Amino acid sequence: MKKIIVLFLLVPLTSFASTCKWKEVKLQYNSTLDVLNKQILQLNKMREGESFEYLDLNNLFGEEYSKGDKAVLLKKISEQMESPYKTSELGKCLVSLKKEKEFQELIEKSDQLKLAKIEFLKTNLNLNNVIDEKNNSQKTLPTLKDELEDEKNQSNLLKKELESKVVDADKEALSQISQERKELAFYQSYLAKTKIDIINQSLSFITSLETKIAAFEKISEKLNQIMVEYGKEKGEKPSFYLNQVDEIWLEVIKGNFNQIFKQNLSAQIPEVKSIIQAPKDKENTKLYEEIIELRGSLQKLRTDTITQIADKKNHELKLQNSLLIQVNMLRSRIYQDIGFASIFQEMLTTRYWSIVISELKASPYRIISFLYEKYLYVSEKLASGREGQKKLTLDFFSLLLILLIFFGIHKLINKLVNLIDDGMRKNAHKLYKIKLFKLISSVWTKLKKESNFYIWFILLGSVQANDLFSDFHLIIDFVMVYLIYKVIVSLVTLFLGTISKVDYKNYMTFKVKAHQTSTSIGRIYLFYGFAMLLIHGAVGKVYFYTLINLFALGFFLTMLVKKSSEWNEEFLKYLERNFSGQIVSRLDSFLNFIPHVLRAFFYLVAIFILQIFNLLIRMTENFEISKKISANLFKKQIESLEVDADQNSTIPQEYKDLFDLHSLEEGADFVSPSEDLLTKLYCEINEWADEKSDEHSLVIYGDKGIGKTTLIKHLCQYSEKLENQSIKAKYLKMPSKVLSKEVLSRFFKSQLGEADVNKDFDLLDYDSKLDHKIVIAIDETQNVFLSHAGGFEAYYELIDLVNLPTKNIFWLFSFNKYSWLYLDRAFGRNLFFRNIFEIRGWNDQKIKELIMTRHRKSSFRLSYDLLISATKSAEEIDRYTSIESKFFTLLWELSNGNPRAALYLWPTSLTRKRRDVFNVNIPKLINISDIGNSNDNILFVLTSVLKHENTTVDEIAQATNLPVGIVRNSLKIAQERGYLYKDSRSRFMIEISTQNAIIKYLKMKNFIYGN
Amino acid sequence: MEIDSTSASILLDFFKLDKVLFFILAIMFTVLVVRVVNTWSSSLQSKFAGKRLLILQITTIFSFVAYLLGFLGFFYFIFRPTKEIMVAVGGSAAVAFGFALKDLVGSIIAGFILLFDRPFQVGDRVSFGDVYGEIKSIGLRSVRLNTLDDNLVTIPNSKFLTDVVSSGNSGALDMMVLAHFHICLGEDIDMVRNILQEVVITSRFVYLEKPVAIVLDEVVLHNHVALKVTVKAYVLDVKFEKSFVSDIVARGEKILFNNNIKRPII
Repeated sequence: MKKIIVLFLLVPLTSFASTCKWKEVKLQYNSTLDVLNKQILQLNKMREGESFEYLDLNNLFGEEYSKGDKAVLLKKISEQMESPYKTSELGKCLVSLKKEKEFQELIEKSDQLKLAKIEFLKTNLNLNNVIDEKNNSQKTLPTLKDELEDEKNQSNLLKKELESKVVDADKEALSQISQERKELAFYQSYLAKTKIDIINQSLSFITSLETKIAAFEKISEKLNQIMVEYGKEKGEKPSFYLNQVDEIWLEVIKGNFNQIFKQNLSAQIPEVKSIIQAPKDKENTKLYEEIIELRGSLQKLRTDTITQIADKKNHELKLQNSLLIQVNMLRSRIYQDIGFASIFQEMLTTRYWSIVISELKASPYRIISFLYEKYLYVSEKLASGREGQKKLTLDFFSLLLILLIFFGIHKLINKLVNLIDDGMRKNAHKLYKIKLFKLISSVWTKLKKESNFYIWFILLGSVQANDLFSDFHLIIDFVMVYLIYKVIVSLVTLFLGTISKVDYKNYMTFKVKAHQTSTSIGRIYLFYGFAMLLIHGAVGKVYFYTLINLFALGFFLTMLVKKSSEWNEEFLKYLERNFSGQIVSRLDSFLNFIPHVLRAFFYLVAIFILQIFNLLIRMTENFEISKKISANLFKKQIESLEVDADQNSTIPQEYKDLFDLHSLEEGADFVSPSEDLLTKLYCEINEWADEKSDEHSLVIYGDKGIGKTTLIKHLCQYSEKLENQSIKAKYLKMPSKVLSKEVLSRFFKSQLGEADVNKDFDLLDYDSKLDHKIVIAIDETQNVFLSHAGGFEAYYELIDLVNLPTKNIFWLFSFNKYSWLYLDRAFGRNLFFRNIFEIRGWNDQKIKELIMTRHRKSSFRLSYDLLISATKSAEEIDRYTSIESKFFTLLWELSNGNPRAALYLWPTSLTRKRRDVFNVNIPKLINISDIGNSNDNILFVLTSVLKHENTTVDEIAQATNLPVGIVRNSLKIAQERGYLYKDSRSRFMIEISTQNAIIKYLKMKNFIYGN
Repeated sequence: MEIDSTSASILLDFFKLDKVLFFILAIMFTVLVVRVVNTWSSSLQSKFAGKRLLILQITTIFSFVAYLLGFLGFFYFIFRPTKEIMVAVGGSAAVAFGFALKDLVGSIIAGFILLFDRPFQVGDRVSFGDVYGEIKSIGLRSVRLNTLDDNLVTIPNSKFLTDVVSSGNSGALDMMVLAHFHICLGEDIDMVRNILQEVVITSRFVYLEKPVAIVLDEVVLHNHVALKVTVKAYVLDVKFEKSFVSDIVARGEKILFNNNIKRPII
């Protein structure tokens, strides 16, 4: 087999790079086909359980087979599209030699091997790796059998030889007259007999091992048959096969215990009597020396035999264990296929309970086997005389050394913990502002007491798989379970500490209570972990395992409910503190139907769910959607806050003036809406100024109050300040409404300084007379149209003007968003303008900057105490900054990032606390939930106002084609509900505070569109 | 005779009074649940007007599935029919359905197909044969359609499997509508086109997120060749369909007249 594998491995390595000679290629081709055929055959045989010759699966499947996940390997092989032989040198040579038939055959065989591999992996996975385990046990078995056979033959030969020697020695002893000589001869005969006895003992162990191997093979064969039949799904129920495997399991487990508890045969190996006195007669000296030598060799033989016997017993134990693992794997696999209903039915039978009792009895096997292994080792060493004892002493000291090292590590960990703790405390005042440090420090404070358990857990977890500790694997497993128990206790305490408000008064009570709870919860795991360790290997995941699982789960739930009820008050307080009052009250009303003792458990579940939700929000806090959710949650939390109806009457007028809606237009308080947008706009102006681009117009559009006016004023200033350019800027506000060509012409003439009133405005003439470049910024350009037939005259004229080939004029237009979107959709997208930029809503930081820039101009201070008390924030350290940030996120959400809306909302959220201090409360927003009840005419009117930004009654009537009476009535209702605002010119505008909600509703109803 | 008495005893055992009562109660419960969901759906529709059609569609599917599975499911779980009874009832039902209720069964199966094939949905403007209107409900047996003159028309589901049906909006709130104008040959086409374009884009009912198109065609009207101008535009909500057409036609007529565009007069 090895030869085949080596040959197979050599196949792809052999290079044909230089030339392909058919003679050599043919040889290679035949060998490869042979290898492939054998592999396919063997894999299929193994799968079908026909033969069990050991096969190195790592060689066949690669290293991933033993190291990686077999399911992944199966997927990988299944997804492998192309045969490796297509790109191999052999394949290439076959193609170049035009041996298509051979090439096809090679590919077919390779595909067959792939299929065989897939089927093998599937069957093995389906049978819980039983085939794999079986293959592994076959690895050493043939060699062991050969070795035993050799040893047996040699021992028999030696025995035969010795028997004749004994007869000779006895004869000689009887024929001797000298007493001294006689004694020596008898002693010589005794030594030979002892040697025979030792050989006999050795032979009996060989026979015992051979019997064991035969039994192993027999049981293995039985298992094989069951496995194959079960795999073929012949129609019998899984319980039928399980019963069969259960019988084998009982047999195996009985054999295992017998193996361990049977008499220690090493004690039966005869001792070698002490040497007789040295002869006085010199003639006997030579014989005496021979006897001493013989005795020495006998002593050695005895030691060797003990070692070999111990070795054989270990082999027997391994065989038994391997068999047990195989049986358990198959049992667990079949058991999985039996439904829960059948299992519960089985529980009513005596057979079920008798097997459970057997499993219970068998469960200590793992520990006993482990201890027996150690006992075998020690007894072998003790029986081996001085050398063995020396080895034992060495082992003892090694063990001591390891324990000392562990003790040292323990001390080192303690030192390290103290060192970190000192470092944290010393640097706390320096690094306290760093968020990461705060986080680490807070976690450290909570975990430091149990930190050595965590470190030990990590340490042992990482060395657990190391071969160096293979002798102690069971002990390490138990220690790991204990450490996990400690970690659970610590985490539960930590959790309880987080949800309880612990201070110096209640610290001790909390500590005792928390310790009791965490230990009770932790002990369930301790019981479960130890039980699983006992069951593992010896019993398998079958009946007892199910019972333990059910018991542990039931016990865990009972304890959870019981212990939770002790923390009912803390859970409720924590929920109230951290989450919306509405959520808690809804949860409470739901829990009214549930028995009192169970309520705390539901609170606990709610805490977990809400915490996960909070965590998600925190993790995604930079995403807009997350900010919106967080803002709405905050709003829910503080909506219980009661604020005076007449709250901002006490806000001084000079402070309100700072937040005047027109303050946005003042350059001094300019806050850039977006750096990226500003850069693009600068770039457009620069390119025009440097004459790098022919584009000489630019459109900015956005919602009302988003900062269009401020921005175009800023752009005017920017263009005037451009270095090496003499550019002037002219800011013009388009009056409402300019609907005819003549009015537009008059407007430009008056604004751009055309003296001759009788002459039409000629833009090209104006441009040619300019001795400098000029930026003409036209604000509120939506005033040049009214959406009724004939209402676009001025708009068409404006487009004509903009598209004239002027050299010195740069046009800058600002449009209301929905006016622009209407024009854009009505006259084709981007037909007349190419540089179009939308000002979107600002982010929360910008909104905060906008408000705080104005607030800092006053001498008033802000207090967030009301909000803090309303949220009952538990975060003592960063309460203020957290609430402030949450408030501005809420303001941002309510204003939809609209600065004018934010400026409007800010004073509504303030009340006077003291002479120079304002309390920050919840911003006051007009409720427009009644918009859903509005009739369609109101919606048409609102849409018209939104499209034109400021319109009179007549203009609305024209645009909507509705009778003036209906328009008036609709306007009246809309004004009463706070949707509209009427200015001094009797022009209607959308109220800034309700703008966002109105737009949302109209969009939903298709009245307005576009993004 | 013996066979008859055995069958009778099986039937009596099968239709025990308590089981029948329980079955009736279960069916009443199903009807109640469907009614509650429908009421809830109505309030949801008024709350989320933009998703009106979607909510209606979901409710319809729910009602359909609840009725179908409710009847069959309760029947199975309450009466627990044995194989023999299943075969007997199934066979009898097959014969009965085959002769007496074949149309009903055909309609139920067609209703099931309509739910998955979705040639139209609740809320759609549908044209079927001579009937045009809004689909109000898709039931187990029939589809109810409200015509524009407010008549409720009931059409068996099976009809939709064989006949041609056209849906104007396929679940969307907006829908394309057509308005026709006729003008004399030789009139300024560009002017007409611009006028009508402006009329459409200034209508309060127009949905401009989708394009407006003006199509010209020569037609013969009572032996006179004329130019037919078809305005294709989307209305923002199907409920304004006719209002939109009227608005375009009324204003279009007026402006065409004011601009001296001659119309074919027969």
